[in-house]
Amino acid sequence: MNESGIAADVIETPDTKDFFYPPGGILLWIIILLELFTFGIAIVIFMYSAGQERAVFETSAQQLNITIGSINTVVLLTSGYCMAKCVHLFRRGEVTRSKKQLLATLILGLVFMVLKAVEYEHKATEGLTLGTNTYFDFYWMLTGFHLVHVATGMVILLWWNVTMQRKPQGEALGNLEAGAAFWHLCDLIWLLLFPVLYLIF
Amino acid sequence: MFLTLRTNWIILMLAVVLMSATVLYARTWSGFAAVIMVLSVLKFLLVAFYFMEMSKAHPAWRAILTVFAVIVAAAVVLMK
Repeated sequence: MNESGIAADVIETPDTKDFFYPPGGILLWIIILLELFTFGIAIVIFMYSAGQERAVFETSAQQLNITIGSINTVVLLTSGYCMAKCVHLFRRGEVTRSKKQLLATLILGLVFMVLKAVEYEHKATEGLTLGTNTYFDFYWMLTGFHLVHVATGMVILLWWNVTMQRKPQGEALGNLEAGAAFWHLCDLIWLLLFPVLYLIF
Repeated sequence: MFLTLRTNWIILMLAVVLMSATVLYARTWSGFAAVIMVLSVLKFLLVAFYFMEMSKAHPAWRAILTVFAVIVAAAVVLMK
Protein backbone atom coordinates (compact mmCIF):
# COMPACT_ATOMS: atom_id res chain seq x y z
CA MET A 1 0.00 0.00 0.00
CA ASN A 2 1.29 3.52 -0.74
CA GLU A 3 1.18 6.55 1.56
CA SER A 4 -2.23 7.75 0.35
CA GLY A 5 -3.68 4.40 1.33
CA ILE A 6 -3.98 3.17 -2.27
CA ALA A 7 -2.71 -0.35 -2.81
CA ALA A 8 -0.44 -1.09 -5.72
CA ASP A 9 -2.72 -3.76 -7.21
CA VAL A 10 -6.43 -4.34 -7.43
CA ILE A 11 -7.25 -7.37 -5.25
CA GLU A 12 -8.15 -10.62 -7.02
CA THR A 13 -11.53 -12.02 -5.97
CA PRO A 14 -12.86 -15.59 -6.38
CA ASP A 15 -15.34 -16.41 -9.15
CA THR A 16 -18.70 -15.61 -7.54
CA LYS A 17 -20.58 -17.36 -10.38
CA ASP A 18 -19.60 -20.64 -8.70
CA PHE A 19 -22.51 -21.86 -6.56
CA PHE A 20 -20.17 -22.55 -3.62
CA TYR A 21 -18.59 -19.07 -3.67
CA PRO A 22 -21.41 -16.50 -3.36
CA PRO A 23 -20.26 -12.96 -2.42
CA GLY A 24 -19.47 -13.12 1.33
CA GLY A 25 -18.86 -16.89 1.35
CA ILE A 26 -21.03 -20.02 1.43
CA LEU A 27 -21.02 -20.41 5.24
CA LEU A 28 -22.31 -16.90 5.78
CA TRP A 29 -24.96 -17.42 3.09
CA ILE A 30 -26.21 -20.54 4.87
CA ILE A 31 -26.61 -18.37 8.00
CA ILE A 32 -28.27 -15.59 5.95
CA LEU A 33 -30.79 -18.01 4.45
CA LEU A 34 -31.56 -19.55 7.86
CA GLU A 35 -32.09 -16.07 9.33
CA LEU A 36 -34.30 -14.98 6.44
CA PHE A 37 -36.39 -18.16 6.65
CA THR A 38 -36.76 -17.73 10.42
CA PHE A 39 -38.00 -14.15 10.06
CA GLY A 40 -40.14 -15.18 7.06
CA ILE A 41 -41.88 -17.88 9.13
CA ALA A 42 -42.34 -15.42 12.02
CA ILE A 43 -43.99 -12.94 9.62
CA VAL A 44 -46.37 -15.64 8.36
CA ILE A 45 -47.27 -16.57 11.97
CA PHE A 46 -47.76 -12.84 12.70
CA MET A 47 -50.19 -12.60 9.76
CA TYR A 48 -52.03 -15.72 10.93
CA SER A 49 -52.41 -14.19 14.41
CA ALA A 50 -53.64 -10.95 12.80
CA GLY A 51 -56.40 -12.97 11.17
CA GLN A 52 -57.43 -14.28 14.61
CA GLU A 53 -57.36 -10.87 16.36
CA ARG A 54 -57.90 -8.36 13.56
CA ALA A 55 -59.24 -5.51 15.74
CA VAL A 56 -56.35 -5.77 18.23
CA PHE A 57 -53.75 -5.70 15.43
CA GLU A 58 -55.39 -2.75 13.65
CA THR A 59 -55.65 -0.56 16.76
CA SER A 60 -52.17 -1.55 18.00
CA ALA A 61 -50.45 -0.82 14.66
CA GLN A 62 -51.91 2.72 14.74
CA GLN A 63 -49.84 3.36 17.88
CA LEU A 64 -46.51 2.86 16.12
CA ASN A 65 -44.59 5.87 14.86
CA ILE A 66 -44.42 5.53 11.05
CA THR A 67 -42.16 8.60 10.76
CA ILE A 68 -39.45 7.07 12.95
CA GLY A 69 -39.85 3.75 11.09
CA SER A 70 -39.47 5.49 7.70
CA ILE A 71 -36.43 7.49 8.84
CA ASN A 72 -34.90 4.25 10.11
CA THR A 73 -35.52 2.66 6.70
CA VAL A 74 -33.69 5.54 4.98
CA VAL A 75 -30.85 5.36 7.54
CA LEU A 76 -30.41 1.59 7.14
CA LEU A 77 -30.56 1.69 3.33
CA THR A 78 -28.02 4.53 3.27
CA SER A 79 -25.75 2.57 5.60
CA GLY A 80 -26.11 -0.36 3.16
CA TYR A 81 -25.00 1.94 0.33
CA CYS A 82 -21.94 3.08 2.35
CA MET A 83 -21.07 -0.55 3.14
CA ALA A 84 -21.33 -1.60 -0.51
CA LYS A 85 -19.19 1.40 -1.49
CA CYS A 86 -16.66 0.43 1.23
CA VAL A 87 -16.21 -3.07 -0.27
CA HIS A 88 -16.04 -1.64 -3.80
CA LEU A 89 -13.30 0.84 -2.83
CA PHE A 90 -11.33 -1.74 -0.82
CA ARG A 91 -11.38 -4.09 -3.81
CA ARG A 92 -9.92 -1.29 -5.95
CA GLY A 93 -7.18 -0.84 -3.35
CA GLU A 94 -8.42 2.54 -2.06
CA VAL A 95 -8.13 1.60 1.60
CA THR A 96 -8.33 5.09 3.14
CA ARG A 97 -11.56 6.00 1.27
CA SER A 98 -12.90 2.53 2.05
CA LYS A 99 -12.35 3.09 5.79
CA LYS A 100 -14.26 6.38 5.60
CA GLN A 101 -17.25 4.55 4.11
CA LEU A 102 -17.00 1.91 6.84
CA LEU A 103 -17.03 4.67 9.46
CA ALA A 104 -20.12 6.22 7.81
CA THR A 105 -21.80 2.79 7.92
CA LEU A 106 -21.05 2.49 11.64
CA ILE A 107 -22.35 6.00 12.39
CA LEU A 108 -25.59 5.31 10.50
CA GLY A 109 -25.93 2.00 12.34
CA LEU A 110 -25.62 3.93 15.60
CA VAL A 111 -28.28 6.43 14.44
CA PHE A 112 -30.61 3.49 13.71
CA MET A 113 -30.04 2.09 17.21
CA VAL A 114 -30.60 5.48 18.89
CA LEU A 115 -33.88 6.03 16.98
CA LYS A 116 -34.99 2.52 17.89
CA ALA A 117 -34.15 3.20 21.55
CA VAL A 118 -36.22 6.42 21.41
CA GLU A 119 -39.14 4.46 19.94
CA TYR A 120 -38.80 1.71 22.57
CA GLU A 121 -38.70 4.31 25.33
CA HIS A 122 -41.94 5.90 24.05
CA LYS A 123 -43.67 2.55 23.84
CA ALA A 124 -42.49 1.51 27.32
CA THR A 125 -43.72 4.79 28.86
CA GLU A 126 -47.09 4.30 27.18
CA GLY A 127 -47.23 0.86 28.80
CA LEU A 128 -47.09 -0.93 25.44
CA THR A 129 -44.64 -3.65 26.45
CA LEU A 130 -44.28 -7.42 26.08
CA GLY A 131 -47.50 -8.97 27.37
CA THR A 132 -49.72 -5.99 26.45
CA ASN A 133 -51.29 -7.96 23.59
CA THR A 134 -50.28 -10.37 20.79
CA TYR A 135 -49.38 -7.54 18.42
CA PHE A 136 -46.92 -5.94 20.84
CA ASP A 137 -45.47 -9.36 21.73
CA PHE A 138 -44.58 -9.75 18.03
CA TYR A 139 -43.45 -6.11 17.77
CA TRP A 140 -40.96 -6.39 20.66
CA MET A 141 -39.71 -9.84 19.71
CA LEU A 142 -39.24 -9.18 15.99
CA THR A 143 -37.76 -5.67 16.24
CA GLY A 144 -35.72 -6.77 19.28
CA PHE A 145 -34.14 -9.69 17.40
CA HIS A 146 -33.51 -7.39 14.44
CA LEU A 147 -31.83 -4.86 16.74
CA VAL A 148 -29.60 -7.64 18.13
CA HIS A 149 -28.54 -8.37 14.52
CA VAL A 150 -27.74 -4.67 13.93
CA ALA A 151 -25.69 -4.56 17.14
CA THR A 152 -23.85 -7.77 16.15
CA GLY A 153 -23.19 -6.34 12.68
CA MET A 154 -21.75 -3.18 14.24
CA VAL A 155 -19.41 -5.19 16.47
CA ILE A 156 -18.22 -7.22 13.45
CA LEU A 157 -17.64 -4.08 11.33
CA LEU A 158 -15.92 -2.28 14.20
CA TRP A 159 -13.59 -5.26 14.59
CA TRP A 160 -12.81 -5.28 10.83
CA ASN A 161 -12.22 -1.52 10.98
CA VAL A 162 -9.59 -2.04 13.69
CA THR A 163 -7.91 -5.10 12.16
CA MET A 164 -8.32 -4.33 8.42
CA GLN A 165 -4.79 -3.02 7.84
CA ARG A 166 -3.05 -5.69 9.92
CA LYS A 167 -4.12 -8.56 7.63
CA PRO A 168 -2.98 -9.51 4.13
CA GLN A 169 -5.26 -7.71 1.64
CA GLY A 170 -6.86 -10.86 0.21
CA GLU A 171 -7.84 -12.12 3.66
CA ALA A 172 -9.00 -8.64 4.73
CA LEU A 173 -11.23 -8.42 1.64
CA GLY A 174 -12.78 -11.82 2.41
CA ASN A 175 -13.53 -10.69 5.97
CA LEU A 176 -14.91 -7.36 4.79
CA GLU A 177 -17.20 -9.03 2.22
CA ALA A 178 -18.51 -11.40 4.90
CA GLY A 179 -19.12 -8.50 7.32
CA ALA A 180 -20.84 -6.56 4.54
CA ALA A 181 -23.10 -9.51 3.70
CA PHE A 182 -24.14 -9.73 7.38
CA TRP A 183 -24.80 -5.97 7.48
CA HIS A 184 -26.99 -6.18 4.36
CA LEU A 185 -28.89 -9.05 6.01
CA CYS A 186 -30.04 -6.46 8.59
CA ASP A 187 -31.34 -4.33 5.68
CA LEU A 188 -33.17 -7.29 4.17
CA ILE A 189 -34.86 -8.26 7.45
CA TRP A 190 -35.92 -4.65 8.12
CA LEU A 191 -37.32 -4.29 4.59
CA LEU A 192 -39.72 -7.15 5.38
CA LEU A 193 -40.49 -6.20 8.99
CA PHE A 194 -41.18 -2.49 8.46
CA PRO A 195 -44.18 -2.76 6.07
CA VAL A 196 -45.69 -5.70 7.96
CA LEU A 197 -45.44 -4.19 11.45
CA TYR A 198 -45.90 -0.48 10.69
CA LEU A 199 -47.81 -0.02 7.46
CA ILE A 200 -50.28 -2.59 6.27
CA PHE A 201 -52.73 -2.50 9.22
CA MET B 1 -23.05 -4.34 -13.03
CA PHE B 2 -26.30 -3.11 -14.59
CA LEU B 3 -26.96 -0.44 -11.94
CA THR B 4 -24.27 1.62 -10.23
CA LEU B 5 -24.37 1.69 -6.42
CA ARG B 6 -25.47 5.34 -6.41
CA THR B 7 -28.28 4.75 -8.93
CA ASN B 8 -29.44 1.80 -6.85
CA TRP B 9 -29.49 3.96 -3.70
CA ILE B 10 -31.50 6.68 -5.51
CA ILE B 11 -34.06 4.09 -6.68
CA LEU B 12 -34.30 2.76 -3.11
CA MET B 13 -34.94 6.27 -1.76
CA LEU B 14 -37.60 6.85 -4.43
CA ALA B 15 -39.26 3.58 -3.39
CA VAL B 16 -39.30 4.78 0.25
CA VAL B 17 -40.90 8.09 -0.84
CA LEU B 18 -43.44 6.23 -3.00
CA MET B 19 -44.25 3.96 -0.06
CA SER B 20 -44.78 6.96 2.25
CA ALA B 21 -47.02 8.62 -0.36
CA THR B 22 -49.06 5.42 -0.65
CA VAL B 23 -49.47 5.30 3.15
CA LEU B 24 -50.54 8.97 3.25
CA TYR B 25 -52.92 9.05 0.29
CA ALA B 26 -54.12 5.52 -0.49
CA ARG B 27 -54.56 3.80 2.87
CA THR B 28 -58.23 3.00 2.29
CA TRP B 29 -57.71 1.65 -1.23
CA SER B 30 -58.23 -2.13 -1.56
CA GLY B 31 -54.88 -2.66 -3.31
CA PHE B 32 -52.93 -0.80 -0.61
CA ALA B 33 -51.28 -3.86 0.99
CA ALA B 34 -50.31 -5.25 -2.43
CA VAL B 35 -48.62 -1.97 -3.47
CA ILE B 36 -46.72 -1.77 -0.16
CA MET B 37 -45.50 -5.36 -0.45
CA VAL B 38 -44.54 -5.01 -4.14
CA LEU B 39 -42.42 -1.97 -3.20
CA SER B 40 -40.90 -3.95 -0.31
CA VAL B 41 -39.98 -6.86 -2.60
CA LEU B 42 -38.46 -4.38 -5.08
CA LYS B 43 -36.29 -2.87 -2.31
CA PHE B 44 -35.38 -6.34 -0.98
CA LEU B 45 -34.19 -7.48 -4.42
CA LEU B 46 -32.30 -4.24 -5.15
CA VAL B 47 -30.38 -4.57 -1.86
CA ALA B 48 -29.73 -8.29 -2.42
CA PHE B 49 -28.71 -8.02 -6.08
CA TYR B 50 -26.70 -4.80 -6.07
CA PHE B 51 -25.52 -4.03 -2.51
CA MET B 52 -24.90 -7.72 -1.71
CA GLU B 53 -23.73 -8.29 -5.30
CA MET B 54 -25.94 -11.33 -5.78
CA SER B 55 -26.43 -10.20 -9.40
CA LYS B 56 -22.91 -11.65 -9.87
CA ALA B 57 -23.72 -14.91 -8.04
CA HIS B 58 -24.84 -18.30 -9.36
CA PRO B 59 -28.45 -18.14 -10.75
CA ALA B 60 -29.61 -20.60 -8.05
CA TRP B 61 -28.84 -18.01 -5.32
CA ARG B 62 -30.74 -15.33 -7.23
CA ALA B 63 -33.68 -17.70 -7.68
CA ILE B 64 -33.74 -18.63 -3.95
CA LEU B 65 -33.80 -14.97 -2.87
CA THR B 66 -36.43 -13.96 -5.44
CA VAL B 67 -38.74 -16.89 -4.64
CA PHE B 68 -38.35 -16.26 -0.88
CA ALA B 69 -39.23 -12.55 -1.14
CA VAL B 70 -42.18 -13.19 -3.45
CA ILE B 71 -43.58 -16.01 -1.23
CA VAL B 72 -43.38 -13.90 1.96
CA ALA B 73 -44.95 -10.86 0.25
CA ALA B 74 -47.70 -12.96 -1.35
CA ALA B 75 -48.45 -14.64 2.00
CA VAL B 76 -48.76 -11.22 3.68
CA VAL B 77 -51.09 -9.85 0.99
CA LEU B 78 -53.25 -13.01 0.91
CA MET B 79 -53.51 -13.27 4.71
CA LYS B 80 -54.22 -9.54 5.20
